[in-house]
This record gives sequence, structure tokens and C-alpha cells, in this order.
Amino acid sequence: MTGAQSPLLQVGQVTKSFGALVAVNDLTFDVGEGEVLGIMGPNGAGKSTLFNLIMGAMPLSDGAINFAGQKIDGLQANQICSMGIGRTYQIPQPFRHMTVVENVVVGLLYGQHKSAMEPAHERALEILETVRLADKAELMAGQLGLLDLKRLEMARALSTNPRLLLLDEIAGGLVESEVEELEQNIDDLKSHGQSMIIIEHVIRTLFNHSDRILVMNFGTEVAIDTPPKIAENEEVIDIYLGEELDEKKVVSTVQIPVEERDTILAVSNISAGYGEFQALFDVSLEIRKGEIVALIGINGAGKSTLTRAVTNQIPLTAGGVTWQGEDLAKYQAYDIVDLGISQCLEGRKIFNHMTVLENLEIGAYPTHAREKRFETLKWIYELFPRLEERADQLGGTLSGGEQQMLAIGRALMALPELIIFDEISLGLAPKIIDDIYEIIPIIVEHGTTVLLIEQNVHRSLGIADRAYILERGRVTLTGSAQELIENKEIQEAYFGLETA
Amino acid sequence: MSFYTVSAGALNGLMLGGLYACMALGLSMVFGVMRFVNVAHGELLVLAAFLSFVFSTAFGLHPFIVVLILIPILFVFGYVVQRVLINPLMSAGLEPSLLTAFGLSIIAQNLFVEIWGGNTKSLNNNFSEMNVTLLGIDVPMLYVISFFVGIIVTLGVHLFITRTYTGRAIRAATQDAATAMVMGINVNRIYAITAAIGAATAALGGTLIGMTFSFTPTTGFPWLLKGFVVVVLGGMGNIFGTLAGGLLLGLSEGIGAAFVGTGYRDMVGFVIFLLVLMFRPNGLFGLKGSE
Amino acid sequence: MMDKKYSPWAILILVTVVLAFVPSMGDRYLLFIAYFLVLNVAFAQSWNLVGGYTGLISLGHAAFFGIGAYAAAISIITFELPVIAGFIIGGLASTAFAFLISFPTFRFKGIYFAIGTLVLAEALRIWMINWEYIGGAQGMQFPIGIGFRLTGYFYIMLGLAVGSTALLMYILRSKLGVGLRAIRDNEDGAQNLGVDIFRTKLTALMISAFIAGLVGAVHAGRLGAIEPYSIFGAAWTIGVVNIVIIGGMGTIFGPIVGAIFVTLLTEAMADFSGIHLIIEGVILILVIRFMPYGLWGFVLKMLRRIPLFGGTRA
Repeated sequence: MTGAQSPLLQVGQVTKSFGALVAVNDLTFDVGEGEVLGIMGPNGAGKSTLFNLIMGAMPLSDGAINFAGQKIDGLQANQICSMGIGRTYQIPQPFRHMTVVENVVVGLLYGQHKSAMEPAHERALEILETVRLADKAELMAGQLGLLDLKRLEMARALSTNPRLLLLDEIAGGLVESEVEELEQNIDDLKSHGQSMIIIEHVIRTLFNHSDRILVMNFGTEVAIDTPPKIAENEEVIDIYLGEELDEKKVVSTVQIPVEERDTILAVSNISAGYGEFQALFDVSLEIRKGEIVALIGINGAGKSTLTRAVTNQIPLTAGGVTWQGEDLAKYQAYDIVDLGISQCLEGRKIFNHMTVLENLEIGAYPTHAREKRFETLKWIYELFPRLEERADQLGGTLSGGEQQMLAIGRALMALPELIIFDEISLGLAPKIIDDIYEIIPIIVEHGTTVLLIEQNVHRSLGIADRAYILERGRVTLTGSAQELIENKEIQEAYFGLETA
Repeated sequence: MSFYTVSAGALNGLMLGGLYACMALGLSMVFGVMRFVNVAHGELLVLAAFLSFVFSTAFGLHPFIVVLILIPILFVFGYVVQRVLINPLMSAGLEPSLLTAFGLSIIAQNLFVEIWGGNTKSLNNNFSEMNVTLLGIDVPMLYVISFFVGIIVTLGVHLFITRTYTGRAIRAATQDAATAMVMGINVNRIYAITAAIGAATAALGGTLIGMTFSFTPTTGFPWLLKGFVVVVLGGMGNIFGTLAGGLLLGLSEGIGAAFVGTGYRDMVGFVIFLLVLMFRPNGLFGLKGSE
Repeated sequence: MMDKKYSPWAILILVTVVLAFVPSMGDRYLLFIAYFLVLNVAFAQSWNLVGGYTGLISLGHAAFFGIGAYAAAISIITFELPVIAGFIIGGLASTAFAFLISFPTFRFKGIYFAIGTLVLAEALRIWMINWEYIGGAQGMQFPIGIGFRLTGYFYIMLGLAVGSTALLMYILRSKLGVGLRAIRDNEDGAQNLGVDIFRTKLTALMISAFIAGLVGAVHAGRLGAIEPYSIFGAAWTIGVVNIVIIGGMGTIFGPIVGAIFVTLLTEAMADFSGIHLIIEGVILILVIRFMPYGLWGFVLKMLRRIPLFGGTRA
């Protein structure tokens, strides 16, 4: 045991870069014995990467991590586990062909205390009791549903008897009552003096359980403070809601009233998810020709799942989607772009080992777009002169803003009737977001309808005609952008807590 | 051993390296694009050699003419096998496709025996007795031809995957299959085309093997192993890496054999394989951190 | 763990007792088949431990077999050690080889293990063919009168088959077994729970190699003469992979079912040597596609549909 004044975990000037992308940038913080540190930040802020770094899954680019006074960066995950750090995964990683109790036995046999087989089995059952999984101890882990898998993640992390517990999105994807149950577990652990770091998108959970909260964006620290202070922090509110705009910056250019336009995409009562994990519940929305529709929600709300469900990348469990009156169910995912729906994916998804020009040309893969690709290319280069300058450079060498331009350009190369922009402002500086947002009206004027998926409320409402608010897989609010801007409940709905 | 022996070994080996590259290209491509470890690639080469044998004896055609018929035949064969047998297993991880290929290789070897018997065959051709003198060293004509075929095939495949839409779709699917799908690319079809191209290059590789050496129904296995050495050397899925790996293997075998004797000739490649595996697991020309 | 509705130990004892009576039936041909059956079982369990329970697909298992055979032959012929000592040295030599190849082949989660073992086994075979000290391509011959009769070898091999099956059953219930299966299901997850991946895989591979080496050594004694072409031949690897996958990889009785199936198929098709391998190959491909746990897994699944056998687990 080290002295009481020395913190349990010390993260010192830690940096991790993947090529040009800096996932974690010069991050420094401590976690004291018995402390609970919450971490929040938008998708891609580097939160899970930070856990991977602490757990030794990948080497640091710079900096040092100390645990209980000993340097742990450079050690292997199993050694770090033996020193007393346990983690859960955001997406549960059970041993599917082993029983639930065997899953927990692994950590007891190999973790910090290395029990013998018999006591390990008994102790495993006790741990399962605490996470309310004892009745399913003899089931195969592959048969569990999401809540049970999350409980199992917790049980497995506890089985190593950690001095520090890393919880990654333990409440993600669960419904209200289930979240409460896992919160109860966190409470119990906290009252026993368990040190924890919690990454969470359910912000209420985070605010209620953390002693301090670290807010991250672009891999750097935005703020680290107590929950009430964080809730008041302007910079934090900006990250989540976007900067407040005084008025709608752009008015829709097409002056036909919304009601008189044809519906091109109709989503009716769809549900979908990944295996046991249901991410969308009875969602309906419609998009009319020439509109800009915003779909707004925090990460984990189900926005990207909705895109995947609409574009046939994952199967629907209920409901249906029609495109210009035709049921999409009979098509394959790769047919969607041929039909006229093009996507600009979250995280840009540039083909890193292909040149800018090649990336753009791949965008024009559908036959009708391929024939007109030289004209389209000219137009794209007018929109983004930067792309023409960099035409022969590899996609992976571009800056974040340039990659976003390329992703938009690539989606436009398909000559879509509807373009879906998934989180195009994510991880970009405000000035660059401005530049990119200026393009959207031009695209609409060009005859393309836009579905804008955003977590940045003010940005998206500033440009959209109408919007849908998605919360935990459900549409909770919808209306014209103007109505929603005036609706002060949004902020509350968004943060899930009362802000000052 | 004289300087002449070593340099003759080196030059001969380098020329033969073109054949190595050509026969390993398909193996490298299917792994690079879809992580499919095709342990039946050797049998594909032997199949090409046998078909060449059948056509050239039946119609009295030169193997180089026959290969022109063979390329489309193997192209279709590769496409169908990939679509019917391998694609359905792609989502289940590496093992099922690998073990299915293993099964295919057992079936193929024994079918060859049933159809063509176990005797050693070779493709008769007017080049096999010819030599070319390069830098004062005698090199078999077929080695020289192999060298150029290897380079031409590599360049051809490179041009295809960089200049054509289908080729770019292959590269896109390699880098990120999910995103490629969103771009409108039918990834299953792309996988089948990749396997088809791999099989088409094997048509050339197998014919060259049949002309330069002899073959039996079980010859595929040693060629598969040489293929793995080439691919690991060059970096899996790296087209020019495969050419470089082939030439390098040929060169080191040639030099190595001059030192340790021809009985251990094949060992040279295996030792290199082991060293690369230990110290440069991404291949000598592989991209760092690509795995 | 096993279903409580049937006792694996009872099945194992029953099968053993039945086989133990084969020599007393006085049919030498039948004894021959039984000998190959138990050899296949023991060798298959060796492969099953790494391929089925650890997720390491070995395509060079012939090397472990061959090293065992040669190490035994050298000990017995050249150094004139007792036969049994030679067998054990065979097992140990194979274990040492496993230790050596683990360093290059354990990188890159699985792919390189399959390719690496395939290539290394062939490299070893070529080495053996050229190594004059151990007879080169001619191989080695045991002196007349050394070793056992067929019945003796049958009982030794039966012991290895039962012993390796029992050992696997024991391992599966031990700490090692839990670690192996965790690695097979999710390597990163296992490591985060404290499992030392390299050491655990290495332990499994060394045990597997020890069994394979013993089997090779005993078989070398039975043959009386060995040469590298067949002892290190890929046929051994092909056979063992077929047996385990057709029977059911990652199950205890799968290799036994597979060995019975393949041995009997081989006998039934003895007059059409090539055809039986073609049929085996086709069955292999069908099993991979439609029965991921092989014939035995399929049987268990069917049994569970009958209420008497109940249970939910494999």
C-alpha cells in the first residue's frame, strides 16, 4: 500500500496518435483512493481509447500512467489486471461458449487473487448474486440478453477483485428501469469505497455518481470539476448543444409549403437493434422533397442505428421503410445508393489508402452517376477547391476538415436525391463547421433533399426546416425548427437533468 | 565453389522468381482482400497444369496458346467456388473458410489421381531445351520467360486494381467492406471477382510450373508452401510486395543452393520465412500496423 | 462443463472395456483396425486440445508426430535405451519442438499459427530427408526382436487414447481449461481478466505436442522401420483435422466419434483408396457449413430434443 496522499491512478501527459489522428492529446489527471471519476464527451472524443491505454491494450505515444505508485504503461493487460485494475467493455465481450458462472470464474482464477477452483466457483456465485444474475449462472453466456450481458460485464470486472474499476457505458442501450438497477450496483460499490472511472452517455447517471467529472473533446481535456460546476460550464454546454444562435441563419430556399411537397422517404413504426440489443423503438418519420430535416440526439440515442436501419444495413424487427412509394425491404444494402439515397457516414470513413480523386470516383459507383462523373467532379471541385488541390494525395493524409469535405463530396458524387449527413460537425473546429454548413443550402438548391443527423442542437436547428428529437431509441419531440428553437425543454430533454 | 557458381545461382534464381510471384499472386490477393487463407491454392495451380496438359495433347496446341483458353475457364471456376462455398462462411471468422479450403485441397488431390493417375507429367514445349546466355551465364529460356510473365502479370493486376472501377471497388472493399457497401458496391460479388482473378493468375502460374518442372496430383502442396513464403515475405495482400517476395525468394534459393547444396534448396525459403515471421510479421515490404 | 444427464466418464469406461476385448477375439485384421482406431483417437485428442479448445488451428501436426517417432527411434536404436524410455523421450522431444515454434507462430492471433505450422512441418520433413545421421531418405530400422507384439502395441495405444481423453476431461475442469476456452472465445477479454495469453497457449500446445509425440513414438515402434516421407507426411495432419472436425471440434467425444467414422469409412472403402478421401473431403466441407460442432454436436442437439435427456448445454 502506498501512502494516503499518493493518488491511486496517475495519468500524466498521455498522448496517443494513430497516424495523423490524435485520439488522446496530452491528458493529465489523477484518481484518488475511493474516488469516482466520470468521463463524458462526444463520440470520438477519445474516451474508450483512454481506457484501452490504461489497460495496456495499445502502447502510449507519449506520457506515463502510474497505478499505486508503479508505472503500468508498457505492461500487458493481464499484468495490469493482476495489479488491480478491472474493466468492462462498452459492447459486452462475453465468452459465449462458456456458462455465465464460468465467465466469472476466469477472473477469479487468473485475476488479482488467483483462487483455487472450488472457492472460485462459490465466490463467482456470490458475485453473480450481487449483480442479480445468480439464477442464470448455468446458462451459456451467448444466450443472454443485453441487460444480462451488461450485468455479466460488471460481474467479470469485479471477479478480478480490482482496486480500480473502469466502467465503459455500463448503462448504454438500456431502458430506464434497467439503468436504475445498474446505478444501484454502482451506488453499492461506491459505498464500499470502490474506486472507479465511469464513461457514460446517460449523463444523469454520470452526474449522480461521480465525485468529479472529466469532459473530453478531440482527445483533450475541456474541464475537470465537480458535477454542479460542470453543469454550469459554458464550454461544456457548447460542446453538447452547440453555440446558441440568435436567429435562424439560413432560411430554406425552396418556397413551396412543406405540406404540398411529395414525401420521398417514409419510415413507419420501425424497431431495430443488434442481436439482443434493441436500439430503436417504434420510430416514425417522413422526409419531403427539397427539405432539410434534422434528426437530433446525443450519442447512444440511436441516430446512426436509424440510418443503418433505413438503408438496409441492419434488419428491421418491426415496421417498414418506403422510398418514393416503394418498399425498401426487397433491396440489398448496396442497392440503396442506386435508388438515390447517398450517405455521408459518421466518422467520415474515408478510404485512407486511396487518393482523394479515387475516393470521389468510388462515390460515383452507381451506373447513372458514373456516366456523369466528370461533370459532377467539376461541381464538387467548385464546392471544395481544396479537394482539387489535394486530388492525388492519399485520403489518410488529409486533415479532419478536409476528410469531412471529401466525405461530403464522395456522397454527392452518387448524384443522390436524398443525402444523409451523419454527424458532419463531429470533431471539427467551429470555423470549419461554419464552412461545411454553408455548403448545405447549395446542395439543397441543386435539388437534393437533406437529412441532417446531429448532436449539435443549435447548429442543426439553425439550418433545418423540421427536426426530430431522438432519445434512447424513441422520437420524443418533433416540429418545425422554429418551434423547437423556442422550446426550452430541449436542453433539459437533452441533458436529462435540470440545468441552471 | 566459385564466384561463377554463386552468380549463376543468383541469376537463375532471380529469373525463376518471376514464376514464384506469378503463382503466389492469387494466394496473396484473396488473403489481402478478404482474409481468406486459401490452402487449396496449390491444387488450383496443379489443376491449371493438368488442364493445360489435356488441351495441349488433345488439340496439339502449344501451352502458351492453351493458357489463353485456360484463363477464362479458371476465372469462372474461381468465381463460382468463392460464391458458392467460401462467401457464406466469410462472416464466421478465419477458420471455417480456411478449413473448407483444406477440404477442397484433399478432394482435388484425390480427384486428380482418379482422373489423371499418379504419374509424373510435364507440358512438352519447344522452350524447355533452350537456354539464353545472360551476362555470360546460361539461363533456361523458360526461367527468362517466367521472369517477364511475373512482371507483366503483376503490372497487369496493379493496373486493373488502380485504373478500373471494379479494381477500385476491390480496394475499397479491402479497406472497409461496410463503407464500400454504402457506396453501392456488392461486396460478395467483389470477393468472387477477386477469387476469380486469383484463379486466373493461377492458370498462368500452373502452366509455367508444368512447362518448367514436372507435376503430379500432389505437387500442389509444396507450391502452396512456397506461395506462403513469398506472401509472408512480401506482406500479405501487397501486389508489388508479392513480386518482390517472389524475386527475393528465387534469388536467395539460388544463392543458398550454391552454398548448402540443392538438397536443402527449399530449406532456404523456410528459414527466411521463419525469420520474417519472428522479426517482420507484416512482411519485408508490409505496412507497419496494418494488422 | 458437461451435461449432468449423461456421464462422460461412464461412456469413456464403456468404450474402453469394449475395445479391451478386441485382442481376445483372435481376429488379427480386426485388431489392426482397432489399433488404428485408438491411434486416431489419441492423435485427434492432441489436435482437439489446441484446435478445438484453444482456437489454434494446427496444420502441421504431422511434425509433432514425426519428431516423436524419430526421437524414439534414435533413443532406442542409436542409444540403445529401453523401449518405454524411448517412447517418453519421443513425447518430450515433440514438446520441446512445440516450445521452439511458439515464438514465431503465436503472433497475429491465429492466422500465422495455421500457416506457420503448415510451413514448418514441411521444412522439418525436408530437413529429415536430407539428414544422413538419422538415415536420410532411407530412414531407420529397429533391430529385430525389440518392442512388443501387435496386441502389446494395441494396449499401449488404447492406454494413450483413454489417457489423453481423460487428460482433456481433467484439463477442461481445471484452471488451464477455463483459461483456454476463454482465449478461444475472446482473446482480449481473457487477457483483461488476467489470463497470460502466451503462457496459456504455450502450455496447451506443449501438452498437445507431448501426446502427439508419444503417439508417433509408439507407432514407430509398431512399424519397426520408419522413413521421413510417410512419418512426416501431410496425410497425418489431413487425417487428424478430418477426424476432429467431422466428429466435433471442441467436444470431448467428437474426436472419438470422428475416429470411428473415419476409420470405418477408410476400411469400407479400402478397395477405392482415393475415393474415400474425396468423400471425407466432401463430408468435411458439409460439416463445417452445417454442423459447427460436428457429428457429436449434432447428436447432442438431437438428444436434447428428447425430453429424457433434457439440458441446454453442449
